[in-house]
Formats: sequence, structure tokens, C-alpha cells
Amino acid sequence: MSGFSTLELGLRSLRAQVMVSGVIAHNIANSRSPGYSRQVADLRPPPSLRLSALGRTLSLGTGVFVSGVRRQREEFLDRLCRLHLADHQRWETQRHTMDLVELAFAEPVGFGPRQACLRLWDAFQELAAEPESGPVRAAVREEAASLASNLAGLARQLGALRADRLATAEACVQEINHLARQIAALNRDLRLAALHGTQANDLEDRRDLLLDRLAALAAADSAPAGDGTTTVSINGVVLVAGDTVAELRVDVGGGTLSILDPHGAPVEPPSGELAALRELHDSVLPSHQALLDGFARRLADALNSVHRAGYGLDGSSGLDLFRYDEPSPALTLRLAPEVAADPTRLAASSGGAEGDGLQALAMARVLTSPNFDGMGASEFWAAAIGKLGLEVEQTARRLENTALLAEQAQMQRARVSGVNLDEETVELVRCQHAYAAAARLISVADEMLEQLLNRTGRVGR
Amino acid sequence: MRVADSTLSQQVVTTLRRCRQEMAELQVQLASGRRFSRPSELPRAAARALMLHNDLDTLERYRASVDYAGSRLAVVEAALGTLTELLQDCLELALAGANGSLTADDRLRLAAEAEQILDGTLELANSSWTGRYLFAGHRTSTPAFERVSLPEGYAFVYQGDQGKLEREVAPGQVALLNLPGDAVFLHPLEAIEELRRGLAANDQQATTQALASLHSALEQCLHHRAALGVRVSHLELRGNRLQDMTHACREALAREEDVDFALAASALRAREIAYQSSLAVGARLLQASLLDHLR
Repeated sequence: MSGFSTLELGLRSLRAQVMVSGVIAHNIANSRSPGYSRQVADLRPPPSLRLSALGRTLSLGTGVFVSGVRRQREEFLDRLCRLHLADHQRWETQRHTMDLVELAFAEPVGFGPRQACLRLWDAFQELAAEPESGPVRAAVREEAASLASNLAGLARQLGALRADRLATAEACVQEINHLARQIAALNRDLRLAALHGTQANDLEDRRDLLLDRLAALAAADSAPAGDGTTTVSINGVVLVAGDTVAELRVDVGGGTLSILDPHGAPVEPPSGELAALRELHDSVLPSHQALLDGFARRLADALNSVHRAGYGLDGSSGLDLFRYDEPSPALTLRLAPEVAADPTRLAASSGGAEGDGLQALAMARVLTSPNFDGMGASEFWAAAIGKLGLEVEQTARRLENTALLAEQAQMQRARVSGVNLDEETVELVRCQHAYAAAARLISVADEMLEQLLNRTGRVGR
Repeated sequence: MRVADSTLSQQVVTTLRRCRQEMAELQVQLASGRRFSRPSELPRAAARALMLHNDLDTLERYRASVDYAGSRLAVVEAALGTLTELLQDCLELALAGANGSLTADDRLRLAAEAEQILDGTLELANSSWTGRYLFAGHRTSTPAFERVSLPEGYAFVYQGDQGKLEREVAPGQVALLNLPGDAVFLHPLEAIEELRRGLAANDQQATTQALASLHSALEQCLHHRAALGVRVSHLELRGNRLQDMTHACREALAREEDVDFALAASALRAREIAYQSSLAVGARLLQASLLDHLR
């Protein structure tokens, strides 16, 4: 133990405080960086010096050093957060699409199929009363064409929405592959770092941020492999292992959207945006399309059979009122060209006489009779829109719930990993004080040495 | 508990956003006067409201149909009224013609009068409304009767059919809007012709017989009028009932759809206060920093 060792100890302390203030500075600088976790420098005294003096062993401290810089993170909270993030993103996607579906049906303020059915019924009633009137016939033609184009327009919108969900799913899978490649690259760097025994906190933060995004997209799960790398899987199918990536692709064979791994095995994300897109594409939107198609088919068939039995003003008979093509009746629903060209061919008459509107009345009754799932046409749509409203409301409620849970999970995580500037400031002030004290220690040691070197050994001079 | 700065700012933003969203929803409600602008906002109320809208539109159509039926039956009623008058005039002629003291010239004059009444009756039978013959059944573009001149006098041919003009005035219920021309006019026309012929031939016997025919024609006409009167009063009742139902339907719809303005306005005020205070609290929370107190 010499006077010089005190100097050395002061130097160590200075160095340690500078390092700690560097860590604090890093925290402050990244207080707004997404995915950043607070880092804490671990200060530790180095092994103490053992001195034997007068038959006793003394243990003397030798100062301080930074043993490591730890990232404040809890794996459990990460898992929780990702679980809720996936659900939140899933219902967000679902809600967004259902909103568009609801808008398409244009109720209760716009002009949807319900109003179009009522208007056609009204026009048929007019026609029944005045079957000879040209303007009334023209009005019936317009209302029938408007109903057909309304249904076709809806079918087109739903089709476009469905196609767009597919395109989004493809973009989603591309993003997943891109994220997987980035994670694989980070895995490689982190394995090297682990081999060299160095901590790479910022790289780990980066990887965790990518994992968050992967969870939101496809509820991807991750498990540390032990060598610094992490294994990412989606519902049991491995996406990233070490630095190898199994790239996914989208397949729409058979009309359903499936996601395949390189071996052709299906990957089924349990939650996240991709799960929502699959559900929308495969079941939600097709069910609405089927509703439209079923309605269009029944409407056209029922009206046609009545229309064919009647007579137009020009004596024509056996004509259809509507035409449609399978497999998508709603999309192709249109007025029969004969009737569209000449409304006098509207078969309002049951026997051929010009003042006979019984067939028109029968067609009006087709619309109010329980031909459409036991309901009249406009009731059918009122019920369908009521059901859609419930569906959208439930989606919105799920979204609200999951948003709340995701927010809370993120707060939990921020409680551990987030930066608090007040805290950092206090640490910085403590660091400053420790630095000042260490500096003072050096000057005291210096003075002590000066005392020894300059003031001693002057006896007899 | 540690509170990260990001948590704090996130919370402030979330609270403000929620307040703004609720205020925007209330604002839309107040501006539109509707409790919901999309079915998903209040699905059950929306479903009920849509059903009520259907009912209301249907009721309005039926009311229009009842009005139409009413005005159309009024025209038929007026025609029957005129027919009654004409037949009564004819009866007077017949009574006069049956008087044994008349000369042949007197009877010829009466015959000329009878012919005029005959013309009037034929015109009445062929009357049209909005360009359509009223008494020709479904064959509304052909006159109901044609007068054929035969050597012994006129004959009348009904050119219409037995087609019924119907208008739906309630689900599955129709109002009959016409009377077949042959049932209403053929007998009167023939009776008047019989009278005319009798008078022209100066045949007292035939004139007396025509009197009987005219009586039965008048009776038939009155019978038709009475039946029509019942139809019209039924229609009026139906119209009143539709009006009551429309009213009830509108009230129910207002309950489902319309905003309670007082409630919405006070809710908006409450949200405004919440918004203002979260703004104030947020501003104070976010500005505070230890750095302000360190030199």
C-alpha cells in the first residue's frame, strides 16, 4: 500500500464516473427512441487487496470499476406485450375493413338496397294502377335498373375489398420476410458478441423492436436459443432459427388465402394483422357476398317467373325482367335487354289487356312476400343491416378492449424499460458529485506525496 | 412505481384523444339530430329504425293508393249520380208518353228528347279519366260501348271486358276501383232505347213496358250507387286508420332515431369540462422537470 495507490484509486473512480455519465447520456439521448430500454451501469469494487501486517490480514478496497452495462428488460413483459399487440392489430384490421363494409351498405342515411327495394315496390304499385302510362313504365324501368346497379355496385365494392385484403396480406408477408431477414442478421451479430463476451444492448433492443412488429403482424413467438440468438416461430412453424430464415409466401389456390413455409406446409397465425386478413378474406367478406348473391338470385328468379307469365303493352310475353350470370349473380345483375330497350314490354298485364295491372301487382307482392329468408325484400335488408351493425359494433368493442390491454401492457413494460429524465438527472448529479470528490481525492493524495517528497529528508541541511 | 416519461406523455395524449373523440361524436349527434349515423353505433336501435322506415314508406304508399282510389271512385260515383238523373228524366218522359191523350207528334218530340238522353247516357258510359275509359274493364283504350244502327233502331255492343281494376291499400288487401260497364250501363241504355223506340213508333203499350224497364234500370243503378257508397266509406276508414298508423310509426321512429337534445348538450358540456381539465393537467405535468430547479 503506497501513496501512489491512492492516486490510482482516484483515477479509477474518475474513469468509472465518466463511464456512468456516458451511460446516463445515452439514456437521455434515447429517451424518445422507440424500443429503447434504459441501461444501467453496474458499479462494483474490484477484488480487495490483502495485506498482512502484524500477523493480521487486512482487506483493503481498491476503488471502483464498471462491471457491465445492463439493459432493463423483463422477458415476461415482452411476451405479454406482444400477445396484446397481436390482438390489438388483429381487431384494428378487422374494424377498419368492417367499417368500409358498413359504409358500402349506406344505411341509414344513404341510398342502399333497402331503399331501392322499397322504391321498386312503389313503382310496381303505380304500374298496377296505371299500366297504360308511359311515364309510369319508364319509372319502373329506372327503379328496377337502379336496384340492379345498386346490388351490382355493392358486389363490386365487396369484391374490391376482398382483393385488397389479399394484396395487403401479400404486403404483410413480404414485410414478415423482411423482418425475419433483419432478425437473422442481428442474430448473427449477437452470437458473435456473445462469443466475445460483450454486451450488445442496442442490438438486442433493435431485435426486440423487430419482434414486436412481427408479433403485431402474425403473433410471432420468440424463444432465446442460449447462444445469444433467438428462435422465431409462428404457431409452431419456425421462421428464424439462428441466422437462417424460412421465407413465407402467400397462396390463393382454391379461393382461400393460405400462407406457406418453404416446404409448402401451411402457417396459421393465431392472431395479428395476418390472421385478421385471412379471416376477412376467407369467411367474413365471402359471407356478405353470399348474402348479396343469394338475394340477387332469389329476386331475379321470383320476379322473372311472374314477369314471364304476364304480357307487355305490345303483347310480348315470356320475357325476363332481370338477367344474371352465375357464379356471381349480384355482380352481374342487370335489366333484361328487351325490357331495358322498351319499357312497354314490362309485363304488367295478366291477360294482355292494356288496363290490366294485375301482373304488376303480383310483382309488387313478390317484393313484400316472404321470399327472402322468410321476409320481404326491404325487411330482409333491414335485418341484414341490423346484423351487420351488431357485427361491426362487436368488432369495435373487441378493438376497444384489446387497445386498452395493449396500452396497459406497454405501460407495464415502460415501467421497467422506459427512461425517466428526472431519474437520469438525479443520477447525473450524483455522478458529478462522485467525480468532484474523486478529483479532490487525487489532489489530496498529490499533496500528501508532495509533503513526503519535498518536506522530508531536510534534517541537517 | 417508476413512471417513464413516455408513459406520462402517452397517457396525456390518450386522454385528450378520448375526450376529443367523444366530443366529436356528440357534435355529430347534435348537428344531425340523429342518435346514430351508422348502424354499428346503436345496432339494436338501428335495426328497429330501419324496420320502422320500411313500415313508414309502405304506409305512405298505401295512403297514396287510398287517395288515388278515393278520387277514382269519386269519378265513378259522379257518373252513377248523373246516370240516376238521366234515368229519372227518362222516367218523366215515359210517364208523359204513357198518357193516352198524346198525339203522335207529341210522342215524336218526346222520342227526340229520349234520343238526347240516350246520347248523354252513351257519352257517360264512354267517359274517360286521365285518358282511360272508365267503364271498359281492362280494355281502357277502347270506348266501352258502341252504338250500332239497325233498321229497327239502335243496339249497343259492350266492347270492354270484366277486368277488375284493383289497388292495394293494405298488405294483401285490394280496393276495387271500377265497375264493369255492361253491368252498369247496358240495361239503362237498352231501357232508354226501348222508350225511344216506343215513343217514335207512337206505341203506348211499348212505352208503358219501357216504363217498367226504366224502373228496374233505375233500381239497378241505385243498387250500384249504394254498393259504391259502402266501398268509399270503407276506403275512408282505411285512410283514417293509415293516418293513425303513420303517426304512431313516426313517433316510434323519433324515439329510436332522434337525439334528446338536452341530454346530448349537457353531455357535451361535461366532456368539454373534462377536456379542458385534462389539457390543463397535461400541460402542467409535461412541463415540470427537475432541470428547472437545478442550476
